[in-house]
Amino acid sequence: MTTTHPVEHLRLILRQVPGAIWATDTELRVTYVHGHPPMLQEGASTRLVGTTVYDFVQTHDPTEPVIAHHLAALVGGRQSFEYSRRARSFDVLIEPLRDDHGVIVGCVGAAIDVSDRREAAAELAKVQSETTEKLQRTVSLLEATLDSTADGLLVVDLEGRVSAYNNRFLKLWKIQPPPGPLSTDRELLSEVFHQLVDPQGFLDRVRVLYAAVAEEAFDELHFKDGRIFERYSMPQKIGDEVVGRVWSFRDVTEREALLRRATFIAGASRLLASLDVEKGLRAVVNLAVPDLGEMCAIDLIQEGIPRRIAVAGGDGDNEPSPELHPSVLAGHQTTYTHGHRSQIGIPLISRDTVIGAITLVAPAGRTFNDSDRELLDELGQRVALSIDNAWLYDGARRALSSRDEFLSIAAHEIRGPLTSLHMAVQGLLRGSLSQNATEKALEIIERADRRLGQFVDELLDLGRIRTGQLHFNLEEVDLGTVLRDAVSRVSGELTQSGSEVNVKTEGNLVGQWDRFRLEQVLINLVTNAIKYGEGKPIEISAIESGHRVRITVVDHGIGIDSAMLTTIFDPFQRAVTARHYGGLGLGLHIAKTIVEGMGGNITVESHLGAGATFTVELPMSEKK
Amino acid sequence: MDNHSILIVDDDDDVRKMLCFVLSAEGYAAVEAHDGVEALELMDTDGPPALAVVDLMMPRMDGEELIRKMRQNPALAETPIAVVSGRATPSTGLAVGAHLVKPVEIGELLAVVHRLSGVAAVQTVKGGR
Repeated sequence: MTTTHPVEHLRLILRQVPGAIWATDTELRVTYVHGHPPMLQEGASTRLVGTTVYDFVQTHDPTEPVIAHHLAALVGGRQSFEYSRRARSFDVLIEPLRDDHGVIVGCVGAAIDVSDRREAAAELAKVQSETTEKLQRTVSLLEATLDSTADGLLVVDLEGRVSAYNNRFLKLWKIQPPPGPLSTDRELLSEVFHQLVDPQGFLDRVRVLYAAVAEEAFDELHFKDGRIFERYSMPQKIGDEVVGRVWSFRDVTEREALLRRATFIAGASRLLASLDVEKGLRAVVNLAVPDLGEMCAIDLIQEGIPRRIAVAGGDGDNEPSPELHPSVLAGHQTTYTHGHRSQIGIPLISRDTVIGAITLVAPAGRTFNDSDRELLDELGQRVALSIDNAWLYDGARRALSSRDEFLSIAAHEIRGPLTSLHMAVQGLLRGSLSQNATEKALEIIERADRRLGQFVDELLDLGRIRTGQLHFNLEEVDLGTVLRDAVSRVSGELTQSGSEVNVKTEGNLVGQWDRFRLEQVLINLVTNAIKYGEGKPIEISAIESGHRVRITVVDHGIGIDSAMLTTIFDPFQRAVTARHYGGLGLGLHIAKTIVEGMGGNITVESHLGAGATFTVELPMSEKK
Repeated sequence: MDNHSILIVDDDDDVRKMLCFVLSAEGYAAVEAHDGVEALELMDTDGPPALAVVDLMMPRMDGEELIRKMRQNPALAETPIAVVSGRATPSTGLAVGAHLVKPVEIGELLAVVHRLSGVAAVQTVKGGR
């Protein structure tokens, strides 16, 4: 067999490769075979040399691909094609065979089994396609997330070119969706950063963050229109490499407003905890300005007239109007205009009564909105509550102090008779007293006994009055008789003081009264006349007039300070200081209660040093 | 009133009377005044007593004021004073010889009077019953 040099070489090489090699002459007769050419049809003989390619494919059809490729090679065309047979794939190469003169003397073919490689490639393509699909789903999910988040997002690369953003970002910054694709973030924001209170500060910060490529940052942005954004910025990384920056913006205006309001209320409550009302109110008005309004004033109604307790924010001539709006005084929160400003009045209500008001003036061009009004309602409630507390505390303190005073005076009142009683008994026991002294001592004991008993009765009466248990037993009573009885009961004191008593009666003095209580009143008035009468004459009269009687008890003693005349019938009041006179002044309070309880009234006229005149008027009977 | 008299100043008639009776029974010469004004008038006319027993709570002029006025008067500045009051502890800043608390124990009263007045009970005349 004659083979050209290249074939022998090919054979050596192809021995390393799974495949076959063959050579033919110009008639496609096989001159050399190595391996098993795949085109071999089933049943072809194993001894191939001498057979033809036509025999391989069992046809002489020149269009049959295998034959066509060989024929093409015989005329000089290098053939490279794929061939599949029995689920195996082959790469086939057919070349013309030339002799030393370049004349085609046949062709040589080689076929390499590339089935495995093909399978791997197909597998790879499949995986790639699956991966791409996953990626697309992820991207789609990401995009959906981007658009559904409440935060505005902007992603830029290291040069500041926009790689992604969402609609929320455009909306937050009020950027009109631009007609073309966005270019750099700087262009974007240069349109809108003037909305900020501090645009320069904003730009500086951005510059700093771009320089510190890997830094995370959290800032607050304040807008001129009052909005507040939180801005979070972080680097965008792929693995460890920073490839860009993510900016996220969140509108926290409402949250901040709620927070501010809650803080305000908490602050105001703390200030109002002071029991010093004026101090608390002054602190509150200063807290309210300028957050809630430009000016704030608190007025309290004292003796029917609003009085300004605290004011903040105004200068001397510029203040919330001192006249409270009538509907505020009627207990309603009212917004109205005064001057050229919007003003709001919040009534302070304690136990169903308007005790004052808070007035706020809005800054020029602004008005109060619903959430302002809610906040102010709450403030008004707390202020009213704190004022009420302070008053209650004050009242309790005064009551306690008054009670302490009472206890101290009560002790004194008891001590007097007790002292003389004690000494009288001791003196008698010692047996050293003279006859006269002994008689006097016994009288003193009797008197002390009576004084103490009377005091106890007064205390009990006071208790009854307090608990509403003072009962009247009305019957037909002759006032003249009762009057004379009363005078005779105090005859001891009368003689002791040296006062002369003159009793005058006129008209029919029989009426429907409580005998016991009536006598109690008269004894009290006469006793006072004796006590403070300085031994001077006392005139008592009882005169009927119409369907009423008028009783007067006149003394010419030390008199009563006109300043005390209004309080003299209050319990625990003394018309003289405790230092100079003992006594609780319960008697007059009880007397007044009794007289008024029987449908009458009691009054006093007096001047210091000129004695006193007590006048009691009573209806003849309770039925008017 | 003379240098041997004890002046009793108290607005409560019964207390004042008992003080006088008790002291008289022990042989002292007791003189009474209804309040500070009356006391000063008496001392003005009759001269200082051996001892003034002064109640603190009185009308027109109370005990403290009376004592102050006495101290300001050279004639009365050295007069011994015993103060009587309802309070357990002395409240006045004024220097007084003794402080008696109501209700007064006769024994205590007599001891104080004896000590401060420098007057011996002249005659211990036990009066008849």
